Amino acid sequence: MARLCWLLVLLSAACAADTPAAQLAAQSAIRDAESAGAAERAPAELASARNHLVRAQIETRQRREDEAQFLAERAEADARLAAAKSRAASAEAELGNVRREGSGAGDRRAR
Amino acid sequence: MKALPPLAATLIALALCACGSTPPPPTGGLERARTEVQSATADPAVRRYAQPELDSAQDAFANAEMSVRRKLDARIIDHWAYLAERRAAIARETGRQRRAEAEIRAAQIERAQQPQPPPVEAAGLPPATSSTAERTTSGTADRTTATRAAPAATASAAPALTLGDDQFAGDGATLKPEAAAGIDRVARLLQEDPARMARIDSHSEDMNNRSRSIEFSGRRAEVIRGELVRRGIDPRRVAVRALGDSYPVASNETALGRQRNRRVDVYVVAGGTSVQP
Repeated sequence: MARLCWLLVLLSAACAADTPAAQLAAQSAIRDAESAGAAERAPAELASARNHLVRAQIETRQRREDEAQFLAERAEADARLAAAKSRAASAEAELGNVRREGSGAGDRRAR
Repeated sequence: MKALPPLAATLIALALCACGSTPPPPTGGLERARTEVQSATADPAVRRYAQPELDSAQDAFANAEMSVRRKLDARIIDHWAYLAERRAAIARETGRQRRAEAEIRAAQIERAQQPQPPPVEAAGLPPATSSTAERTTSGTADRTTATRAAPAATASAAPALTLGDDQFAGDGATLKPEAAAGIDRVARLLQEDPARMARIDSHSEDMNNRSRSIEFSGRRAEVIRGELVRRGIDPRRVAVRALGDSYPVASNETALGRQRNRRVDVYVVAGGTSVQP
């Protein structure tokens, strides 16, 4: 339990201390992916992004900036893929809706 | 005698393996990246709709190959290969997304040939108040499914700037910094010709509450107007229409559709056109 608390403290400290730009970019890309529905539509890519980001934060704590930079860039790329995948799936789902609506539009107008 | 050649072959193979493994070849990631980038390059939807994304994948792959030639650290090669592979996949997905969106627009244009409600007259609208800008539609039955074309911009063409929902941050009425370039552009258009006027048409998704949707779209429109005023534009040259949810461009049934309905169109119109009461 104490160990877990310590880990949480470490992680939140890593977030609070001045975060490298690449990690901020990754964080914002992850948020963007989440808002695009990646939790349902691209869970593997989103998980990979989070995983890379956490590892980047750990590397930063250990003052290994290069490694942290690599990991953060990977996290961002993962998150962007998660977002793109989710948006593609949503757009295709919506296209399906529009086509169905289109074929049913005549009935509604008649009502 | 007969057993020797196979034995020799095995030895040679083993030796080759040993040679190969001493400097760990990072080719696995590189080959995956090559395959992804090649298939993205061959994808017509990518070439048509996601060229910038494809460029960035190809750049990353070029970096990976250059790192191999310069015999850089395997981690660096691996890193660029990873980014190239991911970016190629991003290009592929972005192509899929934009192609679907283009098809949606095409379907909507087709449907827009159907009878439309008359456009809201720009002239005679108080710029800041929103409720008068809102048409009351008869019947709510069509509200959930029908998508209508946005009101005609006093017969003028496309908006000078469209701010999608993604240009607004958290609370919904704060602009993200990346929206600044577009607003700068509109401000420049207005400064170039003092006779020009801007009209801001702000839309929301269906919020099941007309006054809330008008209020929401009005808040966003005022943010944009404030930005133009901050850039030295006379507020009297900027008219605002808070149109609420009356002019959806997409279905309100899906999250993406709702997001696309939350948008702000900024029109720059020639001086003669009345945009201001």
